[in-house]
Amino acid sequence: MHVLKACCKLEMIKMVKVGVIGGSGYVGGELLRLLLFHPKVEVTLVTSDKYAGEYVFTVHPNLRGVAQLKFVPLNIQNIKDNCEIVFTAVPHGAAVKLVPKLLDLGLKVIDMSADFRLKNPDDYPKWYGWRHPCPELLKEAVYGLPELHREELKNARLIACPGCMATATILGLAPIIKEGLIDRDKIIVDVKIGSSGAGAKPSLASHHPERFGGVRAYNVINHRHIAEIEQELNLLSISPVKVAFTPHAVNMVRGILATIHGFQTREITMGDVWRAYRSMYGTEPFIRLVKYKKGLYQLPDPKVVIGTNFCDIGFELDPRANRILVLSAIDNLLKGAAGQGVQCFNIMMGFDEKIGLEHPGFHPV
Amino acid sequence: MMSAKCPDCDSNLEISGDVVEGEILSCPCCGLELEVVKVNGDSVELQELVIEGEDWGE
Repeated sequence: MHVLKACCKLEMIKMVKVGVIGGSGYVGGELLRLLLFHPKVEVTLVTSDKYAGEYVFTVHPNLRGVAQLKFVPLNIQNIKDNCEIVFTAVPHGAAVKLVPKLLDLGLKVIDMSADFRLKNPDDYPKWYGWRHPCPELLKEAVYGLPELHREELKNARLIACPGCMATATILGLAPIIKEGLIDRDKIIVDVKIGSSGAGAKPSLASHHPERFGGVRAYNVINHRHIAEIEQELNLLSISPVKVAFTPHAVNMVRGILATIHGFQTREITMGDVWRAYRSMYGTEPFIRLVKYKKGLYQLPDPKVVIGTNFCDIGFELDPRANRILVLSAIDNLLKGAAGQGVQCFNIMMGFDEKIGLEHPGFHPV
Repeated sequence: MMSAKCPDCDSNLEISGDVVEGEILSCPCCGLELEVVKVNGDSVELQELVIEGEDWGE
């Protein structure tokens, strides 16, 4: 009995005190769902100015009976007193004002916004329309894609979690860019994304009569995620990568499918393509290569990864058009946001990176 | 156990030592159906299984 108690005490000491800043959105809700069941985490604080004083299940009804946490207003001293690490799930442009203060408190920060993703400060006016106030932090921030930056994440103080569509696109393209199997300046990416990708704040575009039943292309040539996609793929490439990227809002709540068209630089076989993907992702815990000759789901489908941290990647050769077709599917709120954030957290803390993320999805859903 | 390569996806297949010629295997990686065409000591020769369809006429 004494031994048991001692063990329990030891476990309690190991629990990491985690805060979620901006916990009322969809990403905040998914962070809470994952962190509340994480065996090494104690969620000590969840902020929302709008819902301060309300139970979190008022906004995230799936958490009813799971936690009696209440939202609290943003208060720096309160965060300092109660947290070791914080996830910031506040809008783009708001994180950049908050994160430097959190770092000054000695906290580690995992930021879900775009405010620290880009390395070149000049890219912020170009893609986001504002000048970055702390460019020195852009150098320090680690882009939170474990498949590309695992070693840097281990010692990070600030992690910038990638965009959801950027995640699907980068992971789909990285092996064939790295191996030089496709023209690096002629890549076409067509993305379909569910409505939760637009966040919890309502707009005319998310209004049911407008959204339902539609396939609406938006930001068709200049979507912001292009900046981070090219930034990250350039790290793997001997020449600049150029991506033609067009997203479509489709009739799903969750999920992303990136359909990627690359054009071969030389004659290649299916074995070459398999080797490229297997070489880069063979030991990755959250990447599944899906190109199977039996069953209904022979290639990736976002329906299969809903609720999981998996990125399913499949491919096909199209010799007639000299094309490599790649399909990459994720849950935009998990591998595209909260799940990836928790995976980064696990790496940063030296935990097994699969903790809290190993559940498969539902089928059917 | 013996090993061989899948002719389509190039993955390494581990094959039971008691495999016999004519046996049909399935690649666990890509699902390709493979016929064991030759067993010679420790080496196994595989080829994609081709099933002739019946000629129903036109």
